[in-house]
Amino acid sequence: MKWTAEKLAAEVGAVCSLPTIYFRLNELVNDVHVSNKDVGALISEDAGLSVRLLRMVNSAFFGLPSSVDTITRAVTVIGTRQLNDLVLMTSVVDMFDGIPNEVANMELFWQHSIATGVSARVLANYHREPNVERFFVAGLLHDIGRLVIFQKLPEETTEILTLINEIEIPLYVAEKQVLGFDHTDVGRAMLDQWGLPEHLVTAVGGHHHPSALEEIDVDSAIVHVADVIANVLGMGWATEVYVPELDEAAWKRLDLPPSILSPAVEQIKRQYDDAIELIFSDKALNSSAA
Amino acid sequence: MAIVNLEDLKPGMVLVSDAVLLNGRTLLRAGAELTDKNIKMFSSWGLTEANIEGIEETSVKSDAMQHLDDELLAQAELKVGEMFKFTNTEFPPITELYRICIREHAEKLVEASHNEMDG
Repeated sequence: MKWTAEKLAAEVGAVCSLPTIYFRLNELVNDVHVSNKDVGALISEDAGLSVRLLRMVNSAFFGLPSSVDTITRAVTVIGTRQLNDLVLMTSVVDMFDGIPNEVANMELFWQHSIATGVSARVLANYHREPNVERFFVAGLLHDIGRLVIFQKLPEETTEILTLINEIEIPLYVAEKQVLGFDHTDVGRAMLDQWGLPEHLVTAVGGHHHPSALEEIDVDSAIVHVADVIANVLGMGWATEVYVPELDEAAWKRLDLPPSILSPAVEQIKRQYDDAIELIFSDKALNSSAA
Repeated sequence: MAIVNLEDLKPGMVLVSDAVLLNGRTLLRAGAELTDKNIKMFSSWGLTEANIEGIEETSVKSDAMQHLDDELLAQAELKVGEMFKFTNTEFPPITELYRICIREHAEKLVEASHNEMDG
């Protein structure tokens, strides 16, 4: 059977899907007639989710001055869109959690995903984006295509890894040579299959070569730069020993001076520790509940 | 003149151009001589760089790393040079990331050598 990115995504999508509450929430958030109270009411229907969200909101990662003890209050303080992105984050945590460690070193995979998410969040802040959590989630998801390839095509994965050891080429180039497509194609197809918002689909699909896009959007540009920074800082597994090339057009799209990088890296290092703690304790909470 | 990062700014340095935040707000006019207070204010407003008179780019770049041992720095540079071999290190944001990466590696090496001495 000849695989395509879409076939892979369809196969994984058939057994692995996002919870309906995410989509119901998404609908509410995009409806101008809906109040914060309605959003709070919907989330409160799911007690497990409510507990997880409150823990997240009260973690060091958010660094709020006072504690938030109800979902209604969380909606007011964090905002409906951001909360919706956090719900997506919990779903992603659950999905990744189902993959056995033999398939890939999941701990290192997590670390790289979190480092990219945090870097994207910090860059979004410098870019004065109103909702930075959306960039955190995009960074968290950016390599999801790699997981799919690892899980569904173990033989081809070995072939790809041998290839990058023999000749020094970036992983995504090796993927393309062996499979005819790479993990960004699979990631795009996967997110499309799940019906996730367009900005996420584009950012995950375009994170290796954003200048190949007709017009570079902020999401793709930020996730691309964030991925490079996560590699520079050597946080977690990236499979690449080498720092990937920084797309000049993507950097220019952000219109930021290079001097923000040094303070940004300090913020990333701090937030990274907080995010690791947040996500790993959320995973633990979730597995003990299951 | 050269663009100097916040961490390398020192009292007595003179601004060549206005110190402007990303949102367009001007904090200090060109020609001003920096004081300790100015630099603290820059930091609290999130200004990341300033254009300074009479400084060569290279002399500032190494300033933040001056407390590091030459041998450690050379070790870090070797490792980082390999990591960056597929990038264009002439591209300003990569030049900056390269510098940051060397600093990070050198600091890790310093930490490791301290641990060795303690152990």
